[in-house]
Amino acid sequence: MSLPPIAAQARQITKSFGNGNAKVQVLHGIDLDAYESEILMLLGPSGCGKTTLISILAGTLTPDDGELEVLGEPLHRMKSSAITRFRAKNVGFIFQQFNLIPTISCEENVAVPLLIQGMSLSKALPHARKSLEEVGLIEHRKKRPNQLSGGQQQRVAIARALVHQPRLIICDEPTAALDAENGQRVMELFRNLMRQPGRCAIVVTHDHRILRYSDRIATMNDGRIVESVATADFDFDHHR
Amino acid sequence: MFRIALKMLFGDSAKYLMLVFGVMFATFLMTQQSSVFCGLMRWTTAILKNAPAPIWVVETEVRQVNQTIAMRDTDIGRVRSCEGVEWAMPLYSGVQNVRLEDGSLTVVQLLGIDSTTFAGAPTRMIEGRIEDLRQPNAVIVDDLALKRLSPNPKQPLKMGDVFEINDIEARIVGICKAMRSFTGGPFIWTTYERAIGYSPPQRKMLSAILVSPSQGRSAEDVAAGIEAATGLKAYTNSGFRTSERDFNTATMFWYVKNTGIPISFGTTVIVGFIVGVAISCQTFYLFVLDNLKHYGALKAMGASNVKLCMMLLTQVSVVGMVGYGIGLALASMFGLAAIKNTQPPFFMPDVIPFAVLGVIIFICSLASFLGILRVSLLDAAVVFRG
Repeated sequence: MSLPPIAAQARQITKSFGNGNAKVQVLHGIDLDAYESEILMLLGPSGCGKTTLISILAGTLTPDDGELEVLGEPLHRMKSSAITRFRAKNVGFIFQQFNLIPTISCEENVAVPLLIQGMSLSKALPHARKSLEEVGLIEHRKKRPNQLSGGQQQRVAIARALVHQPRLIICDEPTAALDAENGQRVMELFRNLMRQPGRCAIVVTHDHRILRYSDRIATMNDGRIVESVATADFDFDHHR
Repeated sequence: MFRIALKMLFGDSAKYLMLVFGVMFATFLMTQQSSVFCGLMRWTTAILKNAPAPIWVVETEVRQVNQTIAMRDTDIGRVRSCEGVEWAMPLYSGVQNVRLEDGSLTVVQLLGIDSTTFAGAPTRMIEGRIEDLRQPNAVIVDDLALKRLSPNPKQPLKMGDVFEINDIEARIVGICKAMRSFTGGPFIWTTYERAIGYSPPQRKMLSAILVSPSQGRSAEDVAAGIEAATGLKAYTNSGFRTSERDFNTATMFWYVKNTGIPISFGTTVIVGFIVGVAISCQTFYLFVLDNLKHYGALKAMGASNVKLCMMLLTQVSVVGMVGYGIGLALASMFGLAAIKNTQPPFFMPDVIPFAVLGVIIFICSLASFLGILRVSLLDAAVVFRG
């Protein structure tokens, strides 16, 4: 069976922080492929470089060395302003702490990626409502984020991440701020929404309970990918 | 994004109000103090407004209108003989004591004008006629005098009432509106001869000569001619100009140079500026810091630095406009109350609101600069760091 097209491809990516004696090498020559229509989960202990890696894959951080091609674009050769435009159009984000703006309504929060692309609020709101409908929160569209539960807020964040139909979705610990039940619900919803062809999601997580929602799992340790296998082949007992 | 920016601003009502308060306070303090200063400077030239004449001829050493160095009465004839002089009339100006009914004393600004032509007479009469000054012991007083010269402010003086100037009887035959004097005392007009009678005797009593140029001659030229011909000092009275010959300008600049008034008011204006800068910059910077993770998220989602800076500028501009508007309204209300109450002095020339607006724009620019700097340098990857 042939593999689907590659959504993101990293080759020999290195990244360090600090200078001189304080220099810390965080990523050591990472090679990683993420395919369209899959959910790839990055697993690993704290400090292993997962967050740095997804920051680079998302185009919010520049690697020191290596090649990075995302959705066919060579990010490692692109200017910062071009990467910013690329992110606005092609990347959706789901953050650990939701990062919803507390002073605006849920539908306005969801509309933000469209506003960033230059769409007017009046044109963006119908799209935002449709996206909220998909996550089952249309009746809460006028509420502010702090009027919703943690699970609901993360569903709003998912609606925001998908409203502009991005092809790459970057998720940073999406269930870390949720209880087990809400975490499962959010991931089920996320999995269903990800069924759309061509989409690729890269999810960083510590939460072993959500690994089953992935298609592939890459395990990191000490700045390196030590294992990358299909979820069906993943040894859950070994990693528990 | 601008609506989102404004909702972010209004959503944090405590910080929003603090920001508006900072700008409002700075606007109010700078506008109000500048206007009081301008009002006070106008009061220094009140005699020029209350005894209007195109040219004032005074003793050579006189530098401002409240300074009186008496001239000889014969100087009037010398001035009248100068080319381009239509008429020249004497004026007595001096601060005198008035004894109130209860025996207490208060000071007044006494003006003695020519009894034939009434040159230098008040221009806005409320009651009575200027011609009544020809009656015995007659004086015209401004409306402030009615309260100031009455022992009971609730029962102000009225037409026909009598009081004493240096123990000599004076009877009110007219009431007028007049600009307040710098010394705060009311104005009293009488004839030149009677004013000399009210004042302690001196060898020379003529304070100034009021002159009008002939038709077709400019006051500047005629004043220059009078100076050349008589050796006296001749000033024009054309309102505040940047001409050294204008008596208003000379008087105001004399007070600016020789008193601590500008330093006192200037210090308060600077304090207003510093407080405005301190509150606005600090609060806006805190507002930006509080929202940094949201700006970081927006940046990660693809918002450019330019877009984020425009959001910050929108927020600062709204705060600036609202704060400036309220501050200016408060200063204007203060001014209206001051004008109604006749004190403290208040005069807001057009340049003050514009100058203060410029300062507020500077304060807002400074406040937004710090925020813009912070957001511009913000690493979009910060949102992944928990």
